[in-house]
Amino acid sequence: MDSPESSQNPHDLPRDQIRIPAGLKAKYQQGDSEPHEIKIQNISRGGICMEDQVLLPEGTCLHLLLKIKEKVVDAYGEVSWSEKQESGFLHGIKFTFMDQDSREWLNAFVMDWAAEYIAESLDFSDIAEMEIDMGIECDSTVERRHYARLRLPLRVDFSFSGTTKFVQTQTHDLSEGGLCFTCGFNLRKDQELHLWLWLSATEEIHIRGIVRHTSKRYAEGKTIYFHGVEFLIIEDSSRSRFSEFLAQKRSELAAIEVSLDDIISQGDRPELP
Amino acid sequence: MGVPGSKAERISFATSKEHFEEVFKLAYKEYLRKGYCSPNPCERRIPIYNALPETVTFCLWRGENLAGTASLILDSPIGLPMEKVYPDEIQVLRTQGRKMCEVSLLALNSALIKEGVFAIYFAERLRCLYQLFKPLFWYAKATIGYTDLCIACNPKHKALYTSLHFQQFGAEKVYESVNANPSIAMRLDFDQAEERVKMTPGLHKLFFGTKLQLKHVSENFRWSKENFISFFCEKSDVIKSASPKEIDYLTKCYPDFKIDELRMQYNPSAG
Repeated sequence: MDSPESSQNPHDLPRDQIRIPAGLKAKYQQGDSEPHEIKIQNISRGGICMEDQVLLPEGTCLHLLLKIKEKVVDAYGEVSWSEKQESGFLHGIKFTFMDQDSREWLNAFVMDWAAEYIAESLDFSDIAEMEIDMGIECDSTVERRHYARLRLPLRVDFSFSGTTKFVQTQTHDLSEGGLCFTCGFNLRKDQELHLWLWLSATEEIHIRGIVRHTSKRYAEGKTIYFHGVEFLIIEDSSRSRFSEFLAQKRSELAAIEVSLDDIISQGDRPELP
Repeated sequence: MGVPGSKAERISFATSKEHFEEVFKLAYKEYLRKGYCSPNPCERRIPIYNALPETVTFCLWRGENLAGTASLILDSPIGLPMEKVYPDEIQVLRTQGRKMCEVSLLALNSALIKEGVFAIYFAERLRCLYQLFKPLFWYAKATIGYTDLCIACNPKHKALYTSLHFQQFGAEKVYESVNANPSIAMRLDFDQAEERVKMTPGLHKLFFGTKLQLKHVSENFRWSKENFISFFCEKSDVIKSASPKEIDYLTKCYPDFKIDELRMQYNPSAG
């Protein structure tokens, strides 16, 4: 890894390649000739790409003096490729020798320059906001719920008030104590909701709940939010009907597994108007 | 299956079976390519340390593909991975009261990230490396309050880690678990890190410009028994080749998994 791979032309590197800071000066000396100032296009610990008016044949050995910050790095290099440009020639120079101090200085410079260059473009919001989903990989011994979840996609409508049904979506899993549903937008933690859970095409029960956790997933370019809702208020008749429904489903569908893909493949997820 | 994403690049914790499948396969592919491991029929590199509940694995996704990964292993009764090569050096730090963790299973996807002339100094490679190291650094330092981030690396990468202000604390040795390649031990002392990083304004801006507050993954994530068996019994020899000490510790971590029974099942000769 330390030595450059000659098969690749650095001029072909990705567009986000590090560009050296303006003012990085360099000179080269060929044999006993006078040092000759050059313009550096880019740099690495493996070599430089430089612009010059003179064509240097491949294999030409050069003595390089690179002024990096307050230090002059003394290196030897070899021309590994050349390319004609409108205003001169572009040369790839592979370092063939550099003392340890110079190498470390160059390393530190390139790493630091790259960090400066890259810093503002990095986005860590996903990992900083990531909710660790308890429902997918969590072992039952650390299950926080009192009831076993049933992974079952049921229609559920929700709203922030009890008068209108705001959004129609479906459950990811549910239990006697709560449910998890998916939708295309985020809800805040501790948001209270009115839920209408459809046990069949004609039978719904009304539940008041509170968002206890949310998590975000990506699939096929879409963002899916999973919202874990704890039930707060459920009428006794609805509760017993729901328990009966779950018991029946558990016995019928003991092995049911609804994957994220199944949910995502149903493309009619609700979006905010 | 990769993890789909709407952003070009994003970093996340590994928390699902699919994530870990990608992680172990990528680590195997890249380690094999570099000669850090020998071919194995499962085509996954699955260390025992990834079975531990406190281990945290970071994933860098590029679109739907895993572009890079690194795992953070915390010191535990079974020690750190590098302790097999540097037992004395680690013990000295431990007796000084240092709380150490180790970067392990670090791999960048060479199919996505070109190597080329400028090797690791490609902006592209550096981007990936920094994206993994920044959350790893803040997780170790702030989320769990550890004092030192250690790594056993090939001596040819010494300059890279030196530039990141790691300091060598163990001499060059042969590291058996990476196919007997040479390694050196390096560590980043968090007590001194910020002062040292100030000498390099670019790195300071990147690492300290915005501090990351990350959730404590192991408080919320544990292997399910099904996935534990899949990865550590069926797709690797982790349980089969675990030492009695390692079996004891895994049993403490997962009392319901009946680790001894699993070992007997997958390695009858162990009994």
